[in-house]
Amino acid sequence: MNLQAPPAKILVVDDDPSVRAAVAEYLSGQDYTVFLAEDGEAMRRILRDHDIAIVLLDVMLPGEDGFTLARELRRRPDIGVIMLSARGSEGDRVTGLEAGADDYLPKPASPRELLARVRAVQRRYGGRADPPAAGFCFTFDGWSLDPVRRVLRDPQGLLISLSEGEFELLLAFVENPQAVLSRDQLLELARGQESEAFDRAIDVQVSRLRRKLAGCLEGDAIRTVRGEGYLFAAEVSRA
Amino acid sequence: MIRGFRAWLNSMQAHMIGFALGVIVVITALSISLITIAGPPQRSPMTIYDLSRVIRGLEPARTGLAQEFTRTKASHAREPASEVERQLSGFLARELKVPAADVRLYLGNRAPSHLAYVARQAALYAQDGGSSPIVQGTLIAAVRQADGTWNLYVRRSKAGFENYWQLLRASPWLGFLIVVPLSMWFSTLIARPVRAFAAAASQAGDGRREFPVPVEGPTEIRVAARALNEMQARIRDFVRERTALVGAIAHDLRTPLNNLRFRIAGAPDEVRIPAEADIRQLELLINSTLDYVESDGRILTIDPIDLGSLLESIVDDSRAQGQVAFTAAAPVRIEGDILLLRRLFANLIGNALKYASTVTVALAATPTEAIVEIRDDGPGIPPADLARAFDPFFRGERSRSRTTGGIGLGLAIVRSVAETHGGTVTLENLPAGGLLARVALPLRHAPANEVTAE
Repeated sequence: MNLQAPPAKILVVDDDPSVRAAVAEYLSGQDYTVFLAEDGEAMRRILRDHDIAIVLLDVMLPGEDGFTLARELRRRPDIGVIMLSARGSEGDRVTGLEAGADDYLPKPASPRELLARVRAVQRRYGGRADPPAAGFCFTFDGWSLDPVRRVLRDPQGLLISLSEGEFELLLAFVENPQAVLSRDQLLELARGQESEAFDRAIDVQVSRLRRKLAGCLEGDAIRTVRGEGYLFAAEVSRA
Repeated sequence: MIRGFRAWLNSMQAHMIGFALGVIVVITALSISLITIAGPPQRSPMTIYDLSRVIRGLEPARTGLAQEFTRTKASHAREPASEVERQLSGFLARELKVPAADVRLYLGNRAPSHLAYVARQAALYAQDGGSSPIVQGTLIAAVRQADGTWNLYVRRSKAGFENYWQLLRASPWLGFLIVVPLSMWFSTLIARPVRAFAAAASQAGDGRREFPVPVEGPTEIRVAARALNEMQARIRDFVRERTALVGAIAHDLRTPLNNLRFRIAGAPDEVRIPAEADIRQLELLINSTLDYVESDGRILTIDPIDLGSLLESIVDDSRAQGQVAFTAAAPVRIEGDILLLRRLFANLIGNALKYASTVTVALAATPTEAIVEIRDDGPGIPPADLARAFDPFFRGERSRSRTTGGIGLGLAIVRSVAETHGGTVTLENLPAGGLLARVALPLRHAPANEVTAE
């Protein structure tokens, strides 16, 4: 697996000892060094003493809750935060991601899924320099794309829904604005497991996105660059 | 005390008593006025003898008779017109002891039946030598004086209608004609709040939504409405408590299930794989339970939503599960919670795709509502199950199997979300086969009223 890197340090913050034990046992078996904390106090103590890469954060904790701690951790640019909570509703997920978590996993989580997310967050902090996409919106020409709720908002505040494929595609565009993207690049940039469906219909998806973005840059937001691919023409800012 | 009296005045009992008194007054007034207008001649009967005493200036047998007459003079008196008047003139002359030629007696206009009676009486008196029959009503007596002029003694009386007795006999029926529409109007007035109450009450009591019954109308209805509203509030609290309990249990199952997953991660495949399948099943159950509990709550955020793109995106995302088509007549925007609405339509479309091969989703709008119709070509729902299809944890026969069946909360969530948005959802079997799910949502969000127990 991750042979070139030294074992990363993961801190599990959960007030339930059974959860700490079960998650710690599994992650130790996957060559991570695992630290345990039962609340925010203990978490801060460990963060002072150790070079933690990722914090697995429960939501319901005695004292300060996980959302508060996630907001606090957001000020540390070197630490990835994954929330692992029994509160699994869409609303909780949105709150968690808006609080600054890199990912939100509801309990009962699949161990392999957790591992995949941990690795994804590791990659994000280790390799690429971009800050995480979650927790804020992309705005362009009065429009905004909310990656947490997966909705597009037009200048009048109207919510326009996107299919998964359209969403991934638009996310790829707004993360790389004003750059020519080939179909292959777009495929690669579009995250998520639906990439086969996405692959087949990329031109269809683009035309659908254009229709949904009809009012953006007078319908000229996504330009076709002959023989090369597509270009997202609007200026994008993150807010 | 005053309050109590006011409350009583507003009661149905007081209304009924008032109405009964009103009817009595109306009927009595009707009878009295009929008698006044159409009653018998006002002036009392008198004998010819009494008339002669009045003329002679003597006190008649019945005191006060003299005052009914006015005396005038005339130079001329016509001959009596009828045989009756001639006969009566003769009797009066005999009582006055003057020549018959000097006396004339006229009767006013009166019913022929009455004249006939007077004539018969006069004929019998004449035959038997009597001379003092009873006369009534208008009387005009003329007596010639020595100087050839005539003294007139005049008593005028309003003559009765010919058949005033019949008229009086008809008065109850006349009363009937007045009282029937009156009582119809009154009973409608009394029944209106009762009907409104019944309509409100029939909606209340399923504990999902509250239908506050307006506290208005007669006192009895107000009391009942207040009691019903309080009952609704109690049912609501009870249902909320139970829902919260179910949610808490589902929620608390997540942590041990989570640990179980991690603990079996290292187990051999023949143990791990079926165990993980069981855990997944449990997870689905917990998730839909919590979705249901949450959809039951209030709406978190209200945004203007392009409904067409919402449906289209769900349809696009569902294509892997079957053939789905989407049509929209025109863009429709509504106000609501996008996460809840997405769940509503994803559940309905997912449900349709579970049982059918082709599903169509159509969007239309009226001036106030958005209408979404989801049709499938599946087997439909047995009519017996249709009414209960939206009940939480209800599963029709067709969805008992593990492969197709959820835990019976998908449609409960759909209904709950629709109602939280002030909308409705209905299911019906199509004549040609298949199921039609119809969702109507108000275009503008209006928060549902809370019951206020007064």
